[in-house]
Amino acid sequence: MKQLVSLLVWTVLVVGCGERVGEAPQPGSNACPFSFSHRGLCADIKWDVGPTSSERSAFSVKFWDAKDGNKVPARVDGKVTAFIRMTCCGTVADGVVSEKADGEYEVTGLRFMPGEWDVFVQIKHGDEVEKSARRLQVD
Amino acid sequence: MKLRKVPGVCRSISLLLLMVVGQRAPGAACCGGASNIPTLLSGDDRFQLSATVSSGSVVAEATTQGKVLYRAYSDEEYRQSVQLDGAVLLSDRLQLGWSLPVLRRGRSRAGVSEASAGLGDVAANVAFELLPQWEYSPWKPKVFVFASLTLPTGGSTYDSTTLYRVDARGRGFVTPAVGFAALQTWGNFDALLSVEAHHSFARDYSNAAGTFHLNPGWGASGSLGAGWSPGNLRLGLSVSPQWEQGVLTTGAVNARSSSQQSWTASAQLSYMIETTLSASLIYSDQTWLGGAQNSALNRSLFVRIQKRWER
Repeated sequence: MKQLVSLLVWTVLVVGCGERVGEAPQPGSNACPFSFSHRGLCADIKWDVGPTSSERSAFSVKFWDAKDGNKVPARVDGKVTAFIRMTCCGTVADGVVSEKADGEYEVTGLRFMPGEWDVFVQIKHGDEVEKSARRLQVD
Repeated sequence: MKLRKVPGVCRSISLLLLMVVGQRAPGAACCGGASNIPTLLSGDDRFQLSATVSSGSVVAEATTQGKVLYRAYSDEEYRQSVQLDGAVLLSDRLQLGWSLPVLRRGRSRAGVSEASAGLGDVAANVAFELLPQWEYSPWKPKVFVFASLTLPTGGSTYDSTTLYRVDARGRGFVTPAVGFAALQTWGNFDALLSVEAHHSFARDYSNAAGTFHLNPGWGASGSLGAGWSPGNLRLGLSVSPQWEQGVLTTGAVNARSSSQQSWTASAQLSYMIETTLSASLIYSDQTWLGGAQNSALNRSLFVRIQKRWER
């Protein structure tokens, strides 16, 4: 009986220690919303569909040289991928990325649910991966 | 083999009381899952089968801050299930049990409807009668300890391909659990306490963006119930808390999701049709008690038929 009481107390203690840790996206700015500092690139996204939970969302992403104030699309040396992650539950979904032109990509098929999400854009070159994220609320 | 010396009235109550053991709570909409309290042979039986049909709907969501947001009537999400549970006696105090759920989930929202059906997460367990009631005692309960293993046969949000994740019918992790259940009767009244703790195994999930190492944390659930049995009827109430630590993701992204918590209140009406055959009607609601965090909140109705074979 003593062991049972100990187990119950232990369980109550565990239940009372719920951890709430969310992920903080890398900082961005209006001038450089998605920053890829190692490559000296900036990127921004423009929603073509959504972001919404009622259909598959899509966005266009454009890269430019971080020093270029005119934001002229710049070629990316590496593979561009994108995924979304729900901060509450850790649910992850990737989008289909297609290159439209040098420095310009289209990401489709993103499946949101209502809630807070981080949108990740990343560049993979060999084993090197650099990513940047922005947080958004989806209704 | 020792025979249990339990007063007749207590034995009848015990047969109805065991209907509440093994009631699985619905998990969060985004992440699936269920409590891991198994079905137990708690009477003098050698074999038992239960068939449970349930229908429920997600009526609200609790945020990570614990705020409850009720859904609009135009946002309909339902969950239906048929679950077959069984338990067989391996020796006088050792038993083996299993659970086979088939789930159907659907959601209709903003003019888009989706539905999906299939196998949920199956589970098996072994239980040992730690404290038998060879003779009736008003203070010493009958206590079982158990270990269970849940397999991710129902898929999860990580494996889902549908817009509303209605094809996620489980948590997506292999989950071992240990726990105990204690049952006691006093005349026409009875009580049940069950607690389990679990820690799922890590797994990898890969997509075009890379490989995600998913490390689920600890989880626990329990149930505290009481009942009154006038004749062949039993009226019961129970409270079932459930807690799940957030999943730590490393690899393509490094973050831990928020923990989940819910409190399920249930009301049960059982009827013993004959000595070895019982039927139950159970209503459960996850909005009554509050205290939920990061969880979809359900209201569900269960109908259960249970057949037992005596030793």
